[in-house]
Amino acid sequence: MSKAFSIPQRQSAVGILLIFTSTLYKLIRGFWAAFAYFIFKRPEGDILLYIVLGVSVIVVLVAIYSYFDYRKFLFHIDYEAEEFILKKGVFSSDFVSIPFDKIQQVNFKRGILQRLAGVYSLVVDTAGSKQKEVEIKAVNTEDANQLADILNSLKEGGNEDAEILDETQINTEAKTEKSQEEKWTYRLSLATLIKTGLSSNFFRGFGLIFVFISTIFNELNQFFKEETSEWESQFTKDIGGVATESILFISGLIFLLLVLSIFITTAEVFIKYFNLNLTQTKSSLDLQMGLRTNTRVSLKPIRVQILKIVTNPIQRHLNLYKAGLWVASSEDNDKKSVIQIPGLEKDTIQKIKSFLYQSSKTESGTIFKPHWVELSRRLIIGAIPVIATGILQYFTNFIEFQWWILVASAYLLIYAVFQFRIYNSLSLKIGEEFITKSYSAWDETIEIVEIYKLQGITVKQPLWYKKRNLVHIVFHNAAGDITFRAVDKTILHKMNYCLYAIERTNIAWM
Amino acid sequence: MDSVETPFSNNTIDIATLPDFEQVSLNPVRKKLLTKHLLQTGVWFVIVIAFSVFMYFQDEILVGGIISGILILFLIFVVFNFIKKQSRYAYAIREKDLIYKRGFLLSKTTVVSFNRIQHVSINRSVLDKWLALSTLKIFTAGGSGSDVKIPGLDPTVAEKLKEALAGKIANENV
Repeated sequence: MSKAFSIPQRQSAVGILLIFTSTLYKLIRGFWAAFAYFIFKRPEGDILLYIVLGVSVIVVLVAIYSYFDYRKFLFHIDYEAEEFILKKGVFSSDFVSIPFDKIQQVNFKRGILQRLAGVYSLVVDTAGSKQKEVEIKAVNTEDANQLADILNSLKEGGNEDAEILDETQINTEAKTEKSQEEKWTYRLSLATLIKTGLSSNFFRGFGLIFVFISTIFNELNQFFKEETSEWESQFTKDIGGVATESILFISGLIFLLLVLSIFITTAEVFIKYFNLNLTQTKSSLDLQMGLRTNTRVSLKPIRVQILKIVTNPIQRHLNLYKAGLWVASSEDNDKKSVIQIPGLEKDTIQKIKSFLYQSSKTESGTIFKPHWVELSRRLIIGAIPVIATGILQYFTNFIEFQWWILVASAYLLIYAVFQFRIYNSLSLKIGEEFITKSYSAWDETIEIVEIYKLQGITVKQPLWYKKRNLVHIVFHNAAGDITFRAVDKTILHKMNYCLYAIERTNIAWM
Repeated sequence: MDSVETPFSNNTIDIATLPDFEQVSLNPVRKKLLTKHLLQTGVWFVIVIAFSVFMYFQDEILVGGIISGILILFLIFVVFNFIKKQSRYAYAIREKDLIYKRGFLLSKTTVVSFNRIQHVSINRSVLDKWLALSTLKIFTAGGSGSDVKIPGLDPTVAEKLKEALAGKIANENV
């Protein structure tokens, strides 16, 4: 019997449909302006006919394209050359070969369409650039599992050297720490999920509502321009009259918005993280979650570049923490480079930490705090909109002076309180193995990076910081930068240490 | 692999005795880099002047004057910055890493260890070819922040640096 997947094969036939929809979606996204134009212009007669004809020709062409794309999309595993091979492309032909040891991880993804069709999308992640990443849009469940298993095991085989080296390194460095064999599973219960949603930062939900309302408003405007103008002026007059008279109305509105924000944020958390299930196996963390799209990720400690632990005052009381595991990726697709796991207890965070770093002890180190000029810089930046609107108010009187004073002072107060909190909490700890940056606005964030996983270090000094002997320091990591501003120059000794720590090891950083 | 082959030791490190990257003497880049930068800005000057002449004939003297005035002031600042910046471009290669310093208003120093470099390439634009310059690009996995681009190198020097770095990378990754 020949080995599985050794013969070039196509994806599942529903793939055609998936390619079709995604290509159409891309087209619409690319030419949304044109679409919007046609919708709002409401063309008539011949022109409408031409447009309908044109669109149907395009749809047919896309369908044909999808079919050929499906035909040309061939993948297989070359066991001899130890590579995963993919050929694709209708007009140009692409030939992608990924050596087993370059495979970072194999992920499953599932959108609504895939769910309906009963297939998975399989993503083979590699280090390096985006073009090297492979996505097979439609693979049936059985094949997906089999392929992922094969690739995972092959990748492990290829990575053996690195892993073994890693292991010995750990054993020699910390003899007492027997690597934890214990396997545990963390299941996010429905109650915790709802608690997490309710105690999340509502700004996101608020932003979503804002976008939603402004879009609707814009569209209404566009559609019924003539009809509404009269009604609208009446409406604004009413609203304006009521609003200036009764604070009750405005507070009611704000309350409504708040409730809506909470609802939307909670719903988002619920959809994203429904049925979250985190399991630690001997060599990896396996995560499964999602209501709409079912995400399955398997992660090895060495892939994790930055660990972010986020909580907020309310969640801290409820013993809820969120872990963000940042893995290496190219810059342009930062969405998928972080794996967020919310609703974790402190114990679980400790377990994750000890699994990632093979030791759960918090190490001591030198702590750096920013200079007060950083606080003044933040305050000045925040004052700019106030001054700008103030000038605008003075010249155009676009809003009544009392209202401006009220809004501006409320904003300034909240802003200043937050900035003081951020400034006070900002700290950078450089220890022997880790760099830890912590700060809190509303969310309280701790970022942890292992020094040997740094890619480079940059020191910046604006001309006007020279006298004060201050510098900004940026630690470059494959998953993003960690920047610390306006810190005393003595930190450069630590930078020498970090460079030494990077250069002395030969441990694979990924 | 050090840890496997050599006996393991874990002595305390005295941070003060670690090599200091600030004490390293750096190499300058070619003076012709300034010529390149000035030529590039010169093109923008020509465009702005052409724009103001156009506005003049369109009888939009006030608007044209304000816009081109602001642009000219900005370009003068750019020229000033380029002149000041020229002497700040500097780089050095140590045994295990590369140091690259640049910038006048915001002085930046980036240090990239050889064992983190992914690949090295040389880039030459048309202007570079006229002026006999080369830009050495050094890529890491840290994204644009830690990617180093050293402009204004003598082509032969750039070539040598590239070879040297390639050798170092290969050595580090055994």
